[in-house]
Amino acid sequence: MSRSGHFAVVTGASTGIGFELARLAVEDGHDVLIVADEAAIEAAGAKLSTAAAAAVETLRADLATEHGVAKLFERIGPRRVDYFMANAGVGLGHAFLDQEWDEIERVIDLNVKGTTATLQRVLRDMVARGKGRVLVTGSIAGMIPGSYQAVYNASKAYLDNLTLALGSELDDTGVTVTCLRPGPVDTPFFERAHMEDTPVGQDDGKADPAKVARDGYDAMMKGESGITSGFMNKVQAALTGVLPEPVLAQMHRRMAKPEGEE
Amino acid sequence: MAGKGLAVITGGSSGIGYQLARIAVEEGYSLVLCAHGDDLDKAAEQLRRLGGKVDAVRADLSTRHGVEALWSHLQGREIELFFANAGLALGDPFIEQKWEDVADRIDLNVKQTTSMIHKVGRVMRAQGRGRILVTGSIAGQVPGPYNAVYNATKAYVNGLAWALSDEFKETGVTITCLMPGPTDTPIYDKGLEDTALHDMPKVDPDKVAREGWDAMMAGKVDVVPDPASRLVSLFSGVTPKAIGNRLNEMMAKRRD
Repeated sequence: MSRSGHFAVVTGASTGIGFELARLAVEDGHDVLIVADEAAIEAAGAKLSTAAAAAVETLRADLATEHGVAKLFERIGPRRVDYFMANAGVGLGHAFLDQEWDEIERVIDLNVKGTTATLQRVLRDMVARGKGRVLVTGSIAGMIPGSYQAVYNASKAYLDNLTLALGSELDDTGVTVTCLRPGPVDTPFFERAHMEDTPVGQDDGKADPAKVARDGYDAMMKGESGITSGFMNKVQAALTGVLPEPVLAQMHRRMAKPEGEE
Repeated sequence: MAGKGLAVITGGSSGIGYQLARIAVEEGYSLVLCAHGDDLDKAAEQLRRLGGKVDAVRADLSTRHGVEALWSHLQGREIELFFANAGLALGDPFIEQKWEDVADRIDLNVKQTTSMIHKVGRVMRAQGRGRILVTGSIAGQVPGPYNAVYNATKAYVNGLAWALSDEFKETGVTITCLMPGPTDTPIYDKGLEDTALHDMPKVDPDKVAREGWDAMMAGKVDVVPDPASRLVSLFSGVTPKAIGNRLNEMMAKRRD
């Protein structure tokens, strides 16, 4: 693959869906800037570089902070971003009243506030140029009230809702916004969310992040408003329109309740 | 009137919050009334004239400092009722909104609402009883072009409240999500002037508050207080999101 001359930015790209999204951009010959708040971003960059016809850059920044967001846009500088994949996010399991406030605040600061801040800056530039594609990693979790993962699911309800509204606001601007809504994916997510001791954390039927990333990447390139990745997730997403919220919350309780809790 | 304990209301100086405060006074609860605007003292005075014992706490709940200020009034007290009602809208296209305003809405509607429910919820769980009413919105069930961040924050609030009503089972604490449609309150004068939403027919806040109150006291999961809004809520899951989008765009977009 030869160099395309296009520039892609992927946040939360050290592992999981973000890393796979970056790999797809690299395979298409795009210059890539990958961002994460951990040292593993360097190793991810090195892995991607071996396959790259174009430049692969890494940045360590915490997008839950205004400082981290500023750092990202300093690094991007005057460059034109063709593809922006807002994927950084963190989960948080266990009962809401037993969660530490600092951890709750981090979910809100990263998933809600940091994502909104980066989207606003990227979209302003893209609309000014009349061109650009954005992919936001929402979740089918946003469509289901999330017992034992309440703040995370609510943060994804925010993103699913915001992304659809922005796609509509930007009709006819040349800029598209696509929402990727995965179900449970086999990534370090569950370990980081302290959810190793839950049925969903232990389930070995979780989706392959490479497949989920492919679904999202293709939908973004087509400018679709959203994509629910995985057949069973599509079924579940369809049910959310029909089943009452208390029933959905109870379904979620079964998946996310830690072992041993009454 | 026999005292029934403490009711705490955020955003209690106007609109739905004020009407909830009024019902609480009529029902014999003492109030901690929290708001940020100039109308707080007037609202507290009116409620006192109705016979209420009212502490007015001026605090900006979009800041951690504001939450701490409110919390310092509550520490060590038993809380029977909590109304997480403070919230603000924000019109105009997303890319033209000031980041400070967007951040302010996220901090108020999402972060500090979550923080207050976390603090009050722990107190109520320890008491083994308590009722929480969260002011969500049917706006959370449809994407909101030209009011995008607001609708998204309400999607968060609705989702959180539903999840917690399930988690709180068997704690003695209930949480109910009040999901109004367009209600005749000052929210439309703070960022949605010159839109169709501003001028469309609206439901009286006292009616919305009454339905919210009754649903909370019955320990219901949620309530949509107006038939027209119930329709939107019913169809938001089954019609293509695009239709909801278009509807909202027609309502929230500023007229040229």
